[in-house]
Amino acid sequence: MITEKTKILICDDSSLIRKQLKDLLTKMDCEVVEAVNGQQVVNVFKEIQPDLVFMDIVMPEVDGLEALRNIREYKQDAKVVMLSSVGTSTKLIQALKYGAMDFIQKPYTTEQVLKVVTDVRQSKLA
Amino acid sequence: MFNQYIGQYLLNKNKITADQLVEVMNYARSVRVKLGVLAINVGFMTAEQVEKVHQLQRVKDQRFGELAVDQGFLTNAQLESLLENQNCIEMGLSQALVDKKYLTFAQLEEILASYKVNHEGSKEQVQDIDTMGVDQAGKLVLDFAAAGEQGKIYQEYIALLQRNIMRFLDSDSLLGRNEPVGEVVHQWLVHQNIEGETNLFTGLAMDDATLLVIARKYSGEILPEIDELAKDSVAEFLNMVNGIFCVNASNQGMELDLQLQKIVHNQISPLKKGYSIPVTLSFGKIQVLLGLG
Repeated sequence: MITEKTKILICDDSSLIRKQLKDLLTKMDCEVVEAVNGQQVVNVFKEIQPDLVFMDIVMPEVDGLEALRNIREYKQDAKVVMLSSVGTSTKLIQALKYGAMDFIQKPYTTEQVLKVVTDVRQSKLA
Repeated sequence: MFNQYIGQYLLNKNKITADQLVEVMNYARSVRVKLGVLAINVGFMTAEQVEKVHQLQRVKDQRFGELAVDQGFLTNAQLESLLENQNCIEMGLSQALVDKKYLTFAQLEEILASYKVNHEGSKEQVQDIDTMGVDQAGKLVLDFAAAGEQGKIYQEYIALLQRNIMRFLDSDSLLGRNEPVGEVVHQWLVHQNIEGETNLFTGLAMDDATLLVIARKYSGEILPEIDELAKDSVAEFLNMVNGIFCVNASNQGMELDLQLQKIVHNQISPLKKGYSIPVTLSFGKIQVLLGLG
């Protein structure tokens, strides 16, 4: 039985974050697609229907919270984890209100990312 | 005071001779307290864990704090707390004893535990000694008196930036005296505005060589030249520091937000009024540009 890889969409305007997160997720045997701003991520989401999105907040064009809201409007059970340096209580509350699954403050650890991916995989099996 | 007390305790317990104590107390004046000693002192790590991280450092080009977090021996919050107290001169003697090999980490751990039990009675007294270290270097060198009440914000920002420079880039960085910001063409300037209940311009100016080293150190990537990845690495370092600044402010009831980072080449800084603070690193120099309002 061939198991499909976990498909993850990462959205960050920083090429460093995209590269390092992609490298980490690839090691976790995930299929990774990238987006560079909040406008592009919504279009890509609709196209590839990923299992999970890692989303930065401060980005050009459209910010991550707005993109989160748009994705969740399109697909109510979309799994989106915010990955941002601005882990203030205001941002956290807004993210949860718009339906984020989790909020990880940068710099992230391998364990934090692994936990999220594991949770998503387990929910797929359930 | 703690140095003298622990020195006297060691002498009384015949753990060290008088000559040895004089030697280490002289050395302790100039020694920099390393994270391992601090971590043992506050009970965040055991001697065994500190030794393990040191062994890993011999094969991995990573800082003590980063390895300790990766190994699960420290949380990020604990590491931040240790870095905040790294200028704590009260632990200088402990560091000196280890450096001079009069004590192993295990022996230091045992001595500190025994000393605290015998001399400190209440837990609060022990904690008072542990938090005696403050960011003394910054407060001695910097003068934001002209900024009035806003001087506190500058001081807090620089302290946070300095801790993260030490954590990620260079444990031997040195702050220089702040000067009013001038119209200078910077080879590279990474800047980001923090906005909200207060508005703060933050910028890091540097030359080609320094940018590349910072990018390599922060990212851990092999970066042969200044490309998008290198520039984004430095921008992400600033972004990370500013994010923590916003979170700290939020915890004190002040809501702040970050704007996009920008990186410019061979331009005059857009900051017209504020401060320029030199930070000397072992591999180059940064000018930190800060301006409120």
